[in-house]
Amino acid sequence: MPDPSTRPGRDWARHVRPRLSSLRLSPTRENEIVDELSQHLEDRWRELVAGGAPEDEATRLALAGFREGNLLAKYMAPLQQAQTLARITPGATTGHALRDVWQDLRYTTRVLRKQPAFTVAAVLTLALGIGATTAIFSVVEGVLLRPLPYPDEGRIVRVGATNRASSDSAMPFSPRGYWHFVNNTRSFQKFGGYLPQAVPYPLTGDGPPLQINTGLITSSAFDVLGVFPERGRLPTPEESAPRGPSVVLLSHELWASRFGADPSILGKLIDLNGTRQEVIGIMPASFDFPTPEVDAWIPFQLDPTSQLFGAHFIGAIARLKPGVTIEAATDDARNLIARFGEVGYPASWFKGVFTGDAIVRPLREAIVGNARQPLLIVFGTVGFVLLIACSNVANLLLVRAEGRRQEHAVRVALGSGRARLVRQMLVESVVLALMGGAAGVLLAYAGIRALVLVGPVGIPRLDDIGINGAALAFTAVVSVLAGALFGVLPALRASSTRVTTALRDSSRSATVGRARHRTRNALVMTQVALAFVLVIGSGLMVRSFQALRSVDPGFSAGGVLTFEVRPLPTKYVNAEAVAQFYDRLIERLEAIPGVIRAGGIVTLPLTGSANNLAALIEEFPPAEGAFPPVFEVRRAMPGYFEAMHIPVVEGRTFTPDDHTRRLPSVIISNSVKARYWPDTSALGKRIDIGKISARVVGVVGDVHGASLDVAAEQFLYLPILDATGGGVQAMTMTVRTASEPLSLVSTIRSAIAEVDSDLPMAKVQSMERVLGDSISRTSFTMSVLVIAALIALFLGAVGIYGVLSYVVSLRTPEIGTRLALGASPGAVLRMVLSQGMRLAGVGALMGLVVAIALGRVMVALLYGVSPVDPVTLVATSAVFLAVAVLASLLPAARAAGIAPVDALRAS
Amino acid sequence: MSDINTRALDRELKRGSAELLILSLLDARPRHGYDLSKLIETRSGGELKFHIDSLYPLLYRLEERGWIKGTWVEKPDERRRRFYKLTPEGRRVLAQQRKTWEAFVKAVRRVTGDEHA
Repeated sequence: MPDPSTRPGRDWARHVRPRLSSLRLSPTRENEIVDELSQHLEDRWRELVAGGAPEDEATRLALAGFREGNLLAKYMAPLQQAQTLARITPGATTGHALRDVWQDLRYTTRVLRKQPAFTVAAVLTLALGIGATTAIFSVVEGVLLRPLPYPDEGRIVRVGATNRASSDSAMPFSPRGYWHFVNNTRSFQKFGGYLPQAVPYPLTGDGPPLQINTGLITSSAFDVLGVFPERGRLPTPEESAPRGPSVVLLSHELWASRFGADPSILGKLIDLNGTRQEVIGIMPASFDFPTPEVDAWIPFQLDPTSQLFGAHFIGAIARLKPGVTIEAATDDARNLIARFGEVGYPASWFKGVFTGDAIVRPLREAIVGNARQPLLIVFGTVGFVLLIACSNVANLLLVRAEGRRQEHAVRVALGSGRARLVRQMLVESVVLALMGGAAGVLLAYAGIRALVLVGPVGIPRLDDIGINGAALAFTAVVSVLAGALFGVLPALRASSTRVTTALRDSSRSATVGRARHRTRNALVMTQVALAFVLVIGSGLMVRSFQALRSVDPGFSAGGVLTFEVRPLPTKYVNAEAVAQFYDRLIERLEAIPGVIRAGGIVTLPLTGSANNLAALIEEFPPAEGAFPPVFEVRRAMPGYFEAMHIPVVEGRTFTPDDHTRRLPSVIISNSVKARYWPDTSALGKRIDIGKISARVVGVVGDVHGASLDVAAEQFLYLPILDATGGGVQAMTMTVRTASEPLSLVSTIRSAIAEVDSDLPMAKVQSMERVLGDSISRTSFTMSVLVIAALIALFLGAVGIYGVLSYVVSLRTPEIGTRLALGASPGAVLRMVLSQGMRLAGVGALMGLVVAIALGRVMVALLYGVSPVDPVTLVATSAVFLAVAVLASLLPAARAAGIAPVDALRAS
Repeated sequence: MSDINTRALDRELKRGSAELLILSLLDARPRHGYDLSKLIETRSGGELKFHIDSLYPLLYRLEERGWIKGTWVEKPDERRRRFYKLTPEGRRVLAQQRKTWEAFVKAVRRVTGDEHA
């Protein structure tokens, strides 16, 4: 539609158009009316001038045909043509922001539908980025951010003293220390204790024996948390007092699965760990303190008169008094620890164990613990993927904007403001991003399901994770931001189009838009740089994983089956009876065809819960006032070392004689020998552990007790019975089998039932699995990083490919000319390839700098590899070189294959 | 023309009797908007006058009803003009309205004429 103002006569349009603006006329119709009324005014004006009126007066009189109050619009409003939704003339302002946006949206839908290939590519790219970000955000939200399900959870803290062994974690309390805090605290409204690990107790009667995880928790800890049973009641303080009545609360799940959700279970007695306990309540399904696997809770009966100073096993939680800060509470706790002497702690404890400091942390933080860092790193990683996806789409948009320069120029010529044009393009990118976000949510949903299935050990609260309102809100915000991010550059570029150049210069030319090339190149280099960082990160994780896998755990995990048994204390009334039971069990297990050797140990390596005890070595007494050395003390059965293939360095392993005859035997690990008797035999040396006075009978290989990434501990192994009457209850059996260990589970189960039909078999797993779980944090982080890096690499390659293809298509005439003038196809190939290499090279250099800067963040996750590991750096660079060559090869080959004649004709 | 008359005319426009004026003028031949407004003014001796902001909405309304139809006519060095002509439907409506109008005028005359006779 030509502009009416270019027609002969005065410009009446500016008087007419504003009067129509409030109507919902189609632009075509509006222009018609403007034309028609302008003609009317012109006729009138000419007549007046012809009649002798001065021109100004004539103008005034002609316009007097319009009366006050815009009657034109008023009379036109009921007409149909004023009702129809405006057809879209892109970019024309209607004067109503909302209507403009609506128009932009409709236009966007049309444009996107017209270019399905572009739309699908952009949406999929964004879906990858947004999906990954949403999935990990859900994990971060569920694990790190979501409040615990307790009223006023912000005031619940975990309290502990720090010890010299690990000053950044809270040491549990002894019963004395616990009561000292309960009686003297000023900062805490309520103070409660619990056993941090669930205790596996057999539940017998009412069906087959079942080992359930029991939480020990004081009645005051329930008050701290502010939780109530969904049925029944909480334990009373009397029930939580030493030798109080035996009561139990069931988890909702156990109640449903074992007791058919029968409400009449309340008040009845059940057999737990061989004692009759009264069921007093059912806890709601959401209650999972201290660990999610707890099936039942029994009151933790803590004796204030206990003499066990050295037994630090009570976790403490507390509710801060209103207005008390964490800092004030920490000061209070510090003072209380300083006064531990009042309850009988020897002064030596303050030199050897306590640092004098206290830790008071919000419970949520304490639960999340060291899962925080890998999660945040993974979150940052997927953020990188999203950035790469954004710059990829920005590049797609830039190329597309190139093809739409004329359209934009026309729209600018038609009176569409630059701001309006920018907005139109931003609406387009945000719509794209939201589509990507929607597809991303689907991806995230699938991803989270996979993640929870894989279920990396060591990430708490994983079961709670899902796509919820918070995650959806996050996705929406991220999508809009991403849309704005990748849309703003192409939009600004497009709006700076010069009408005349764009319209005149309708052919593509290699000389225009040098700035555009720069932008595109910069975007690709950014992608390459980000991808480089991710590939380095994942490379470092792979190397850490390899290093961890290559750590010798000290035993051979293949072919070993492990499971836990806990003979009922009521059935086996003393340590001797328990030991006899284990003897029978081992004998029966070793009679099974396919079982090579069976043994047992109190705490299996790599399953945590250390048992540190001080010991006195006769030849090396501690200096006056110094604390004696601390060892990892575990009780083991004959057959354990053989079943686990832990080598014997010197002497012998345990025999049944050691416990049946209560010999004062101790087996030490090689690192203990290396520390005290590096050059002489350790056999026969005297070591006092508590009241046990033992002689070294053997030296065995070092074993990693807590985890593979810390040095092997110094172990002292004791038999399962000793002269002082000490013994074992629960043990983890280790069975070396000739075939696949898990294939023997049912045979072993019936063998156990032959020995004791009340005995459940718990935590059945292969030692391989135990080993794998112990490094699951590393393998989880590695998997996510590797996946992210692969996506990044792929997107980066697509970016290089895209830019080169476009450049080649722009330069087709030029390349044709070169070829016609005698350039060899090989030279052309090299030219394009080298351009690809330049992009990749500069990007990789930028990435290298960022990777080195970010290396510090990763140090905590790495094992046996430096953040600037040369192998990783070289390998990553090689991978990038290869990818860049691959991505450049196709466009380069296309360039080399250009037929000069066609190229020149096309130009 | 006084303000009161303008308002009266506007009421007429709404009621629809002004439509009759337009349709009648287009009976003879197609005309453009300015032509129509001039004719109404001169033929009524200045008594009836359409403002631009009421004339065109009226024309568009008639066009939407399908009684008249506008067509653009372009001449060199001039703005294009829109000419309106009666449609067959418009012609039928005009005949009907004329009958009604004449009957109405007759009736009014009968009433008022008796008084002055």
